[in-house]
Amino acid sequence: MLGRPLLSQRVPDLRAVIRATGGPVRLAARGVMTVPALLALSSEVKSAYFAGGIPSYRALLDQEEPSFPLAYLAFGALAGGRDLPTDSRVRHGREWTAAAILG
Amino acid sequence: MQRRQFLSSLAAASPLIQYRDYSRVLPDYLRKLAAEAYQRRLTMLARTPLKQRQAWARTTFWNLAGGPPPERTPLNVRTTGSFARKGYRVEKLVYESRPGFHIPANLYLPEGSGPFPGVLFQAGHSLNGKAASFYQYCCQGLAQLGFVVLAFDPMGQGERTYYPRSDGGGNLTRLDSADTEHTLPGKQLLLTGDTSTRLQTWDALRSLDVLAAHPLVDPKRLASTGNSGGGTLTMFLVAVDDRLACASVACGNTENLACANYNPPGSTDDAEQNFLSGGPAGFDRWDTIWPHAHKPLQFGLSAKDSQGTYSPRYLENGREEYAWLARVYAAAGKAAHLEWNELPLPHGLGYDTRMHIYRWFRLHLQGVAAPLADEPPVMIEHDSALYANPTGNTVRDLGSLTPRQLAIARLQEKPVIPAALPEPPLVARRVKLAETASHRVRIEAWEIESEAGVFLPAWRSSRATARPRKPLCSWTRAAATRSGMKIRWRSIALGGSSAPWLRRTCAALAICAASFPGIIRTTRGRTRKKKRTRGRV
Repeated sequence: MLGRPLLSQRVPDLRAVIRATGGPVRLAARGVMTVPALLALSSEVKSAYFAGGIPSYRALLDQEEPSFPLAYLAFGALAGGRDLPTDSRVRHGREWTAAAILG
Repeated sequence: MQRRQFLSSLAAASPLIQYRDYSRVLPDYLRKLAAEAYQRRLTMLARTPLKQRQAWARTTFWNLAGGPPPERTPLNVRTTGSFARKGYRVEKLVYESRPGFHIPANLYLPEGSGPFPGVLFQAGHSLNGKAASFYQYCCQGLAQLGFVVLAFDPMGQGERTYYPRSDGGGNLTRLDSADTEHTLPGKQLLLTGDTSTRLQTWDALRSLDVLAAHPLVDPKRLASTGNSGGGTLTMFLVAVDDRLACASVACGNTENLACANYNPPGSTDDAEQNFLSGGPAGFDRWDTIWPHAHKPLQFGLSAKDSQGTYSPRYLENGREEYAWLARVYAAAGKAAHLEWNELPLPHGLGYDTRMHIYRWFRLHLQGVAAPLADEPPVMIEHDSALYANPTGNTVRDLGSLTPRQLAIARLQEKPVIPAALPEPPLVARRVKLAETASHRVRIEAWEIESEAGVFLPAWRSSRATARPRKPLCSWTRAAATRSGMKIRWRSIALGGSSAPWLRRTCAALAICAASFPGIIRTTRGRTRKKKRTRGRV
C-alpha cells in the first residue's frame, strides 16, 4: 500500500547477504523464504536447496484453501503467463534440490 | 573507583558490541514511506481543483483496484419469494453482477404507490450478511419511514458463503470469520492482478442498478448506507457512482493508511479495503469520498474503534480529513450537507446510529426536518425467512461462480498493474561487529546494510583454524533441515544442540545465517498474529 510489497524488501535483503559473503554461495531456503530466495538467485549462487516452499504461485490459485502469507505474494504475479522462476533456465548450471515442497 | 573508571575498565577488558535495535528497522522504514506518501497526497490535495480531483479519484480508484470495471452484463433479476409485514413487504431477489456470479438480496418495499427514495444497504462483515439483526432493524426502519431498501449479501457472507461448513453447522463459513471469506480469495485475486475491492465495488454498483430500475424507486433520490465494512463499501460506491444523491457511512474505515504519526502497520485491513500502491499514487481511503462533494454525506463513528477495530490513529486522521472536506463544502455554501457524529458506543449499527441515518435520509431525500421521536417497531426475521435461494447458498442452489473461479478466468485478461516505487539501489555493505570462537568454530557477528537505512544482523560460522575449502553456504531462513537434523540459527550462532553438526559442517563450509526484518530477532517478542498477514507495505 505504501508502494513496496514486503517481498520486494526481502529480495534485496537476501541479495545483499549473498553479496556480503563475498564468494560463490550455496543457498538454502525453507518455507516462505523460498519465494524471495528464488527471486534473488544470481550468478553468485552455485547451488540451491529449497524445502517446504510452494512449487508455484499457480498452485496457490488451484487450491481451494491455500495457506500462504500475503507478504510473499506479488500483485499480478500470474498475469501474462508469468509465475515463480523455477524452470530449467533458472536451474541451468546449478545444483538444484527441492525437498518437501508444499502443494 | 568512580563509575566512569569502572565502565572504562570493563570496556578495556571486553569491547562493547554495538548491536542496533533491529526490531525498529522495518517499522522505521514503513514510517518513512508513510511520511512521504502522506506529504505527497497533501501537496496534491492543496494544489488540485475539486472537479479535477474528483475525476482523478474516480479513475485512480479503478486503476488501483486492478483495472477498469467489468462490462455491464444482463442482471437477470428474479424474484424468488416475498412476505408481508405491517407497514412494509420484503421481496427476495437473485441477480448476477457478472455472468454466473449470483447475488441474493432482500428488497424492502414500503406501503404505498411511490415513487420512493431508494437506499442501497451494504452489510458489514456479519457471517449471515443481510440477515444480521442490526441490519434487519435498519432496513425495516427505513422501509417503514418510506424508503425502498435493497440489502444484498456481500461476497463471502450469508447466502454467498463460499467455504460453508460441512459438519451440519448450517450455511455459515468454516473459515474463522467473514473477513477471511473474502480475504482468502482476495490473495488469489492479487496473483492474477485483480482485487476484492474491484469485485465487491462492482457488486454494489450492479445492486444499485437493480434498485434504480425498480418501478417504485425515484432514480433521482438514491442513497447508500452501511456499517463497518459496509460503510467502507459505501465510501467506495460514492467514489465510482455519481447517481447517489446522499450517503451515510456508519463505523466505516474512515482512516487513511498514510497518515500523520503513522504507527505501523497502520490501518491495513480486509482485502477489499486496501489500495495497492496507493502511496506512490497519492491516493488513500479518504479520496473515495471526494467525488461525492458537495452532496449530502454523513459519517457515524464509534469513538472506541480507535482501540481495536481500526488503528490508534483512526479518530485523529478521520477528523483531519473531515476538516479538509468540511472546508470544501463550506466554500460552496453546502456546510449543512456534511455531518460527523462521534458516539461513545461500541462498533456496530446500534440504535443511536440508526436514528442518525433515519434523520439524515428523511432530511435530504424526503425533505422532512421534523425530528423522529423513536425508531419504528422492528423485529428479527430468522435467516431462512430471508433466503432468496431454496437452501440459502448460491453455489449449492444455483451453481454460482466463486471468486476463485473469477480469479482463474482473470488470467485471460490484461490487468493494470499499479506502479510501485522503484527499487532503491543495493548497498550490500558488511560490517563485522564482533568475533568469537566456540566449539572450534569461529563465529563472526555481522551487520549487513541491504539498502540505505535497512540493516540485517547475520552470523558467519567457519572453521576456526583455516579458511574454508568449499564455497560459502547462506542459510536464508532461521531454521533449515538437512540430513534429518533440524538446525536453528540460534544453534549456529551459539553452539547449542547442533554444535557437533556445526563443527563437522564448518570443517568444510562457512555458514552465513541472516535474520531478516520482521523475522525472529528483528521483531520484538513473539509475533504470532493470527488475524491477518500485513505483507504489502
